[in-house]
Amino acid sequence: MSTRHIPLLLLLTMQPAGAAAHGVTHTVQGTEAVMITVSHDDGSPLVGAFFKVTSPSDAEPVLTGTTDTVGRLTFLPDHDGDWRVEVWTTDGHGFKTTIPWSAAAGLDSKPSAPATGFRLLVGVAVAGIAGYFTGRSRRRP
Amino acid sequence: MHIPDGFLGPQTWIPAYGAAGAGWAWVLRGLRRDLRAETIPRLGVASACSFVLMLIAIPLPGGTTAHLTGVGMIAVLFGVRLGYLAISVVLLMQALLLGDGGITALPISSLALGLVGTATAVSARRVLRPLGETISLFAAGWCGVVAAAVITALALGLQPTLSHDDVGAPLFFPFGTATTLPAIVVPHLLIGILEGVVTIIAWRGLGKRTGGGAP
Repeated sequence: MSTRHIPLLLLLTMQPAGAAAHGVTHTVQGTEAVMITVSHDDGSPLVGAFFKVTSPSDAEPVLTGTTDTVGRLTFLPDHDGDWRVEVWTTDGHGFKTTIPWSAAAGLDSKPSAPATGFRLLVGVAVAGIAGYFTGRSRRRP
Repeated sequence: MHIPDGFLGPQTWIPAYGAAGAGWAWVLRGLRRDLRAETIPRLGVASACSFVLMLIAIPLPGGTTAHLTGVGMIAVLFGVRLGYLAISVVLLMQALLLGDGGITALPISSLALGLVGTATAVSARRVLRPLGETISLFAAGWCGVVAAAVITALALGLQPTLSHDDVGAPLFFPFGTATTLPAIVVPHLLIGILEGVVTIIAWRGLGKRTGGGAP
């Protein structure tokens, strides 16, 4: 394989514009209630994912259900502490997270996963580094 | 097939690390023989392509997503041993750099894609070679990713049986194989078509230049 084949390999990795980086991300917001928005990495909502909320003082979940049509789940924490939230889809996507709730402070998190652009940049960088060393090895006598 | 941390119980991931570790030892034992100097950059580029392919999810009917893996491509170009090495490194980098897939899930994903996936792809190519190169290459890509999907679905679907509390409530991933097998395998029957095409294109472009491909 020579360096002129690297574009072919990179071409193989190209996807339609509608394709999204793979994974699930979420943001947590709230001042009185906690609202978690769960989405694929391209921002499209993760609809109908199963979730379970466990309070800091209970072993059993206090709330179970599925995310709504825009990928949200909401619950009302009745005391401060670490609330545990688990989200699953039947095909193995999801996450488990702990939400340190304080009624006085509220919550406003950033998305949990790197943005699509950053992820693709990392991928292209990895491909570029591999391509560079391929070209260098070809030039070596 | 990037299982997050917390979805698999220790009853699964500890033995899986043992099995995957034995596989990695097998790879390293034969590395000096299999890995020629000119193979290293080619394996690096193919691994980079697999890395990027796995980053990009394809939306599927029903609101789920799946992604290409490049497992057929790597299997026919480099064989099972180097394929297992390459896929394992790709999965490790994705877990560490991007948080795609958990460290506890790494051995299951490596075994599913890197070992079972590549071995199935190489076997399919060998068995179907009499039917022609195109068919055997397509089958390698399709069978490799579907086999990996089956292993992943079984690993997740066995969690309620393997890890539950005193009253039988699952401690980790809550859905059984009756749910996970159709949820994971059926989308990959479609993704396998693209894997087959990628495998054909990769072989046509690179096969002869990687020393004729898998041993």
